[in-house]
Amino acid sequence: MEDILFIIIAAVFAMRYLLRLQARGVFTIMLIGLIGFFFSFTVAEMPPFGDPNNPVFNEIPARYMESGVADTGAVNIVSSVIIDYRAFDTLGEATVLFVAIAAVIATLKSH
Amino acid sequence: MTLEDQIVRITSRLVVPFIQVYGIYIILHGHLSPGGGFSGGAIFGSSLVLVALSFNLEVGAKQISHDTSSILESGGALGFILTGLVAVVLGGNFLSNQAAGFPMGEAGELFSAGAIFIITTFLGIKVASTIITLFYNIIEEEDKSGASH
Amino acid sequence: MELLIKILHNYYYMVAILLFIIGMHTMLTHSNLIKKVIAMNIMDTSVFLLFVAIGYTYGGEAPIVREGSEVLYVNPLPGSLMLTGIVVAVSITAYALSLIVKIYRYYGTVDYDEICLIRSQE
Repeated sequence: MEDILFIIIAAVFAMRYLLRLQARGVFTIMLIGLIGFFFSFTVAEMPPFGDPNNPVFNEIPARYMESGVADTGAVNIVSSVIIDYRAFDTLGEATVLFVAIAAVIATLKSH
Repeated sequence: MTLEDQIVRITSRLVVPFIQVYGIYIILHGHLSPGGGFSGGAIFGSSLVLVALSFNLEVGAKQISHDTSSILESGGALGFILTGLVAVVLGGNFLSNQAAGFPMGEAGELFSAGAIFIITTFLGIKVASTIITLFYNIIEEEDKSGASH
Repeated sequence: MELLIKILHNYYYMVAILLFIIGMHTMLTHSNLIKKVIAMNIMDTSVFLLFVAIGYTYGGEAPIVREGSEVLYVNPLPGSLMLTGIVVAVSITAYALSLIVKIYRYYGTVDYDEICLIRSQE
């Protein structure tokens, strides 16, 4: 336990002296290293890339692709998903776009 | 006016109609090929930004006035909601497509999938005027404050 | 080393994590405000890449239904849900840039350290 602490403190002093970084830079590199280390373990636990037996291919995309053309009449399945099956989310997105433009105009044109 | 300005102006004057036709094609074929309202509207808005960048700002602001772009942007959002309310009037739920009685066509034609075609067009108009309004508001504020400093 | 082989097989997700780390490091280290906004955009793009890459399958085509049986399609759901995310990212970038215009008009600089210096002297 003391060895790890000694190594960390030595690394902090080495980076401060050799690379001439401020304390802000050293702590940033340590935080980024920690985050990248734990994210790499998460990536190793994910299902393999491009496998047709992934858990993401359950019954929901199967139903959208089987009866998509017959329900909506659109050949593009992405269009039928965002405009017919989940149209309320697209309405919320149009509202977000509108509110952002209103906020920009209200910020820039006030005296 | 140097030679580089001449080349940029002549090229952009030639290319802008093709960009607009391409954007309108992507909006209108939203249910047949990849694309849809958002990407087609972004391409159409980028053509007017190109006019403002290669010429000066007055020429760019004369293409679409501020009142027109405000009306188009609000009209796009209102058109979306009105299409949903038309579905309620025709007897279905809010924003429903075939259960309300919109005219479906054959799958693969241009005029098919009743509500999807109308909603895609309104979304394309909305996104295009959003990009134009954003660009002109930020650039004109920069210009005024830069001149006063 | 089995861990390393599993990580290298999912290299799409590793590139998304790498982009996220690059964006976060730029946002925390550089002091120019516009660089921070660009780094936030890079972090958004990495999240979209992660979600869209989850839906891919080998030998799949774009989800445009065409004639023929036994055609394997790519999962359309993650891509269509990320369209909303892209629009939200554009809105946040636009609003952040308009706030930077107002900050520049008041302080005269876009550098974060100089702004803190000016604020501490008022």
